[in-house]
Amino acid sequence: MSSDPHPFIELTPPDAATGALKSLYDDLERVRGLGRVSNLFKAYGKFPELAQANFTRLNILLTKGQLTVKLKEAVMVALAEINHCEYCVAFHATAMRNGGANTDEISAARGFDASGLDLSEKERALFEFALKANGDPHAIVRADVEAVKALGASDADLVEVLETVNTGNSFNLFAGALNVGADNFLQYSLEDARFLDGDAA
Amino acid sequence: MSAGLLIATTAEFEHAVSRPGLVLADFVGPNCTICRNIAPMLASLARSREGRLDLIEVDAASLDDLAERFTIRSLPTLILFSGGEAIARRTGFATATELGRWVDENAAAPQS
Repeated sequence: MSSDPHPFIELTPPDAATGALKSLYDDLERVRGLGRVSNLFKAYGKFPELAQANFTRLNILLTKGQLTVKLKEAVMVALAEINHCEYCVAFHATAMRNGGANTDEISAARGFDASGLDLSEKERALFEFALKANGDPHAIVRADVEAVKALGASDADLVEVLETVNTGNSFNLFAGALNVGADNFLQYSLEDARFLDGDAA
Repeated sequence: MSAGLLIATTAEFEHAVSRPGLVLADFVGPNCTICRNIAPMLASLARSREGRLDLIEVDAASLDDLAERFTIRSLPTLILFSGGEAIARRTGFATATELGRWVDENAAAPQS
């Protein structure tokens, strides 16, 4: 992790955005709320069409699937922890809270502890499956898949959770390599493992 | 990033594994991707068993006498010691939950 406090590329602020970039920022604010254009998407915004495609992909992942947002954000919190992406931990901890998680569950995700997540048995198994796939996808054997399916996971669930791993890792890579920095609208304290604006989900 | 105490010499290793209680030795290599991937899982395991399990990391390439002695053929290899005796081993990636279950099962099993 860089100790440099500044992003490595220029991040265009919303009030300076025009054309395709403005359209992207407008979409981000429409979905996430006014002022919530994340630094990650400001960086992606250097290639607005790609940024728009990635935002659409992220929205499909979070809104169209069968799995809960809490599970998918828990996976992304864990990945961010693995990838040492502090910005990403804070971002996804906030999103996990918005998905109904409390701070103990967020700490469990940060510690890769599925038993600490208030999820169904199936989703806890999918959390474990996601970590295994991230750790060594080629070591996954049929028995791993059958074990998750025995708890009710469908083929679509497997695709959805693996795409969550893909998405989390690709965003972590961008955030780390370009040092995009934390968003000022995030309130999660990594050191204290709590929210500065209160812990209520 | 090292998940546990990095062992520099064979003498350090002998001292580390001979202490009372459980010691988990993680044999790694410099170009081992899975070793890097399992490190956060091991760190989480050690945190959750603080005071009951010590984690050490051994570079199998640097300490080749240990690699030979423990027949390290793939990385990462994890060897669990209890009272200086190797009681279990496994290779490859595992989640923190799987590692916890493995440690607990082997720590509870009667040793011959």
